[in-house]
This record gives sequence, C-alpha cells and structure tokens, in this order.
Amino acid sequence: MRTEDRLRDALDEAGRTVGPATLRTLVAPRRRLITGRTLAVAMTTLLLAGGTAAFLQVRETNEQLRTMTMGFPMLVHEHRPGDPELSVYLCPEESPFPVCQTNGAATSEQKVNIEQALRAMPQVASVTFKDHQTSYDEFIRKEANATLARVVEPSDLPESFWLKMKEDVDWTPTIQAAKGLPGVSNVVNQKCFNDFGPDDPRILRCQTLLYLEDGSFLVS
Amino acid sequence: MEVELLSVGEPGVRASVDVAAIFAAHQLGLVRLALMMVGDRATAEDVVQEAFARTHAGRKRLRDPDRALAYVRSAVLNGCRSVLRKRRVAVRRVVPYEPPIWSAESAALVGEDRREVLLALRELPRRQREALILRYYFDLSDLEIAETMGIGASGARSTIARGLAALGRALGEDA
Repeated sequence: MRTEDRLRDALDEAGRTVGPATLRTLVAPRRRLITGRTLAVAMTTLLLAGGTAAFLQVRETNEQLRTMTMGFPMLVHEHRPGDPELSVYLCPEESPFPVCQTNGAATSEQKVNIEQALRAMPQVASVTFKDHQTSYDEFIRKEANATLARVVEPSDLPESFWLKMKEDVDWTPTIQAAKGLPGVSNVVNQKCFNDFGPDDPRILRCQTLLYLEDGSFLVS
Repeated sequence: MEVELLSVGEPGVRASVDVAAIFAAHQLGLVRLALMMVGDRATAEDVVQEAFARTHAGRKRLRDPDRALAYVRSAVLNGCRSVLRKRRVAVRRVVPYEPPIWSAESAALVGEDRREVLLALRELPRRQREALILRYYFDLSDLEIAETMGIGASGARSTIARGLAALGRALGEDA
C-alpha cells in the first residue's frame, strides 16, 4: 500500500476514536467575574524551564480554571546573580493558603512589621517591596498565555518583599522566620529553581502543590 | 464536510462570522485535529476548549467568512504546539494521564499498521506533521493548508512532499 493510503487509513481510524456524541460542550468564557461564587484558586508559583516563579491569584470558575491550568503559562523568571534570592509573599484577599484564610489580607500595619522584621534579620542584605502593579507588569511581560493574561488583574498578583541575602549564610532561619510573620502567605526560594534543571526530581523541593476544588492542582 | 462553511446572510453579501458558531459547528473536526497532534483525547478537547475560550473572549468576528475556518484551525494548531512545547519541559502533568493513541497501551487503535504509521508521523518535524494531517485527513488544498499554518502555498506544498517522503522512509517503503 502506498504511504498516502496508509496515512489516510491511520488518520481515519485515529479520527474515528472521537465521536460526536461524547464531545465535551464548549464553554464560553465569561467576562472577568469577580461576582458570584468565586473560587479560591491559587497563589501559585508557576515554574517551568528551570526558571522560577511568580505568585498569582486568579478567581475564576471551575471550568475556566481547568482551561487555564491546562494552558498554564511558562513563566520564566530567570534568576541572575545579584537578583534577590528569597521572595516573601503577602496574604491577599481570598488566598488559598490556609495561613491567610483566618486573618484575610495583610494589613498595612502587618506590612510595616514584616518589613522591619525582615530588615532586622542578620542574614538579609537588602529588602525591596514589589507592589501589585509591578508584579502585574512583570507577569504580563512574561505571560505567553493570552487567556490567562486577559483575566488577570493587578490585584490578583500579591504584594511581596524580595530579599537579597548575604554571602555564605544559611537561609533556612530566614525562610522559617519569614513564614511565621503575620500577613505572610508563603516564602519562595527563587534560586532553588535554578539549582535544579526542569527534569531533575529534586526541583520538587522548591514547590508545594495546591489542590483545587476540581481536582486539578497548581504547582506553587 | 470539514471545509463546508456556514452560510451567513444573503449569498454574495459579505457578512461577518461568529467565531463561536464556527467552533461549535466544527468541534468534532477540531478535536480530531488536536488529537492527531497531541495524541490523547482529553488534552485534545482541552486544546479546543482553550482555543475557543481565547478567541471567544475577544468576541471576535471575522470579516472574511472564507477564512474563518482556517482561523479557528490555526488557533487549535497553536494550542497543540504550546501543549507539545510544554510537555518537553513540564515538570508535572496537570491533566490525568491517558495513553496517546499511538502507544501500545492505548486500546483506541485496532490495527498494528495504523499505530506504526501514527508513530512514524509523530516522529516527523512538527510542520510536516501538521501539513500531512491537514492534507490526508482533512483533504485541504495547498492554499488552505498554507493559510492554516501561516506559511506560503509553495512552502505548504514542499512541506507535504518532504513529510510524505520522510514518512515513507520511516515506514521502510520505496520512494
């Protein structure tokens, strides 16, 4: 049999494995929906390709979420020498992180306290603050997924403090202490993602998984 | 069946086309297209859904109905490309694992020959694979394929020829 015919037959049979009767219904996206039942989605660190991460909180419906998780963005936040190594994320409203759920968004007083506490830590060389808009701008710049980029708003991206660490110090006490500060949702070691390639299973040490209501999960 | 366009308005009158309607009318073909590219049905349906959501979110209406189908097919192919790209670097699967149709674990295909052909197809460069699927499953013309893939018609022609030759070689056939 000629190649063309074999190819036609194979494609034909492959095509027939999907019939019209069982097709999932297409769901039209709703415009940005904050109203209605909002689904705590995620403070997520998106990690890919040996790069790192940004936190993101999106409120959407299950259906859209599924769509989005599937098309999840390749956020490559390349960590270069001299960049801040630790990022301390603040609790936004409706955070899926349990530590934020009891007390809600970080208050301005908490923010002041967090910054003071971070600056007072002996291992920390410098502290910079990243607001919603700055994080959003970075996110949009790196975001290849148009759907996600469209539904995300500046307020979805939490505020954060970025720490540059002194040389040759143990980061563990800083990470532990920062995680315990009221108003902090999570602390991420940005450099960790650079230390392991994307196929290295040890990269799982850099992330935690967040399970969503629909059974999917996000890497954070 | 696939190339049939929705007739909108009076004949001869240039009407705009609702992209959502095109998706709905051609969902089956689009899912099959994605399936042939990504290998499993769940991912294929996700790709189509995402392409639908993305185009629909812009409430896009195309001025040229003749190009509408090429447009949605391109959107689906783009979605497939990004899935395949992500798979190369993905740390974790987000969707439940389903064996691809060309794998031995899949019960979807009956014939061993089919599987062999699909496996060989999968090994081809991405463009050749796309072009061969559009030609030999959807029976599109060079021009339609070119438009769907965003390349020139001569490029489409030569991509098909090269792809077919490579496939023949991979299957151990005489040129």
